[in-house]
Amino acid sequence: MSHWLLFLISVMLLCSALIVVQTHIITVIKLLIAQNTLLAGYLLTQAVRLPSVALWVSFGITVMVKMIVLPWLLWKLTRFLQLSGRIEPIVNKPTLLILVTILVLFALILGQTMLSALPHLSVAGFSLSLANAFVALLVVIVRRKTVTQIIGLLMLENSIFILAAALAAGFPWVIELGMSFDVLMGVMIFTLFLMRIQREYGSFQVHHVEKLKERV
Amino acid sequence: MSMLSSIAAYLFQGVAVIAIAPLLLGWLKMLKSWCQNRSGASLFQPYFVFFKLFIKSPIVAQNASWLFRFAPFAYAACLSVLAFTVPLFLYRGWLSSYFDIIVIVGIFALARIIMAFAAMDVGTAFGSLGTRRELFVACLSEPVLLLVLLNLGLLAKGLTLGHISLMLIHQNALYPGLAFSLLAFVFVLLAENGRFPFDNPSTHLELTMIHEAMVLEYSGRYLALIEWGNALKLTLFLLLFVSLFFPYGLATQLSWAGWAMGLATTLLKLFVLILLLAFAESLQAKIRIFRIPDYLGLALFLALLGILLTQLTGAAMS
Repeated sequence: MSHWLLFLISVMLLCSALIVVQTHIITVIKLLIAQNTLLAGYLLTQAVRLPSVALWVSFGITVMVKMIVLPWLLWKLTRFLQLSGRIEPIVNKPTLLILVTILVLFALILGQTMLSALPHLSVAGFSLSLANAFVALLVVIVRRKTVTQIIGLLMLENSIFILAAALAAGFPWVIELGMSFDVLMGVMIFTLFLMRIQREYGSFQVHHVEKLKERV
Repeated sequence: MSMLSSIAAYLFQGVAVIAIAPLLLGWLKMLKSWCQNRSGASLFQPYFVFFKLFIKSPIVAQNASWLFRFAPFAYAACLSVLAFTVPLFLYRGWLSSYFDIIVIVGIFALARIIMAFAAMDVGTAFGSLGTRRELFVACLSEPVLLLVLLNLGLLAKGLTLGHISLMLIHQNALYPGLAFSLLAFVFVLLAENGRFPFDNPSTHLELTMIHEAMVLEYSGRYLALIEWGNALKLTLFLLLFVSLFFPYGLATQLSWAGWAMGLATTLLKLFVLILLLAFAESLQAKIRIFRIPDYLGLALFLALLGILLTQLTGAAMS
């Protein structure tokens, strides 16, 4: 845990905050790539500082899966679903901005309660990653289109990763490998689902999918 | 080194800031024309333009009062005073210890208000239209600028630019709140200087112009002063950017080697910043005027988050 990591986490939080208010799907994907690049940058610095096979493997996986495969998949998906236009969030922008501020404040205050148990830097890293996770959840909640919900999920995965990096030295690399492939599989299944839904309904606004809910 | 030579260095620094302002503008225009696949005018073209405007006799509207004639001088004077507060090769300007950040924002506001009065003085439609738009942008961007400067002031525990730069040079740490402040400051920089997503500095199209509409009635030496002032304002904001976020390399002691190092690094930083500015401007389209609050609202929120992060994770950094 260093100042450098703390700064990276804050820039990742910045990316997440920008994703919340962006309306164009392509910009959102670009911001997600930026966030994943920051994550890979962190792994690279760790791998250079303490050279080990696990870290290099982890860096390789992050670059391959998160920076190349996932954005490409998402981009293909938006092409396939013809999603070049704007995606309107459920609530308006100023409300979203205030919500993000409240969530970040909440996470930071939550972190303050741990000050006696952990070193200051870890607490700061923890609260910023927690804030990132909250913002990712907000992205999942407030967007109408399902693609952005996948993006929210990926952001959530990123924040869990940096949460682990902030509190301990990170996950063991087997778990990391598992997580990456989980996410990849998840996105692939999501993609298949979305394609089915598109074929079935000709659109994939969330409210069409809600018809599938059972009424009791 | 003696007291006298240090004062001479500070004075020279301020004058140099005023002198290089049109050069930066020339570099920016050259880069922009390269981005548009044109061959640009000379780097020194702004100087030639100013010289041409200075020797031309100005034409003043019939019903213009003394305010109209006085305003360009006051505008240029305000911005020239600020040129003595920003760093170029020394870590602080001559007047930096007398002018804290609130005074700096205040002088920027004073310069703008003077121009607004002068634009409305003649009573043309364009003047008041430009003024309204300019003040609309200003009232949204000024709080952001104050918040960004306040964030840095809170980090440095001192409200002058000198304190801030010195703290950043000595601490040499990355603060989590700074990323937010930096982005907010970039928004303010673009909005205050009428650069691209907010205003197109090279257009005289009725529907879109903001700043140009205000100075439409000016000609001759008055226009030259205003244009020089605009170039200086851009330079001041870029130097503020350097001093607030990347002051590394600036001279903190009085020595020739330090000064040369400071000058070289600052010129390099300005070179890169203008490069980025030109690219950013070339890649963006101008936004509708009613979407400006969206952008500046985002900037306000980022500045606010920056302060929150600084305050609540501050204990970790010290």
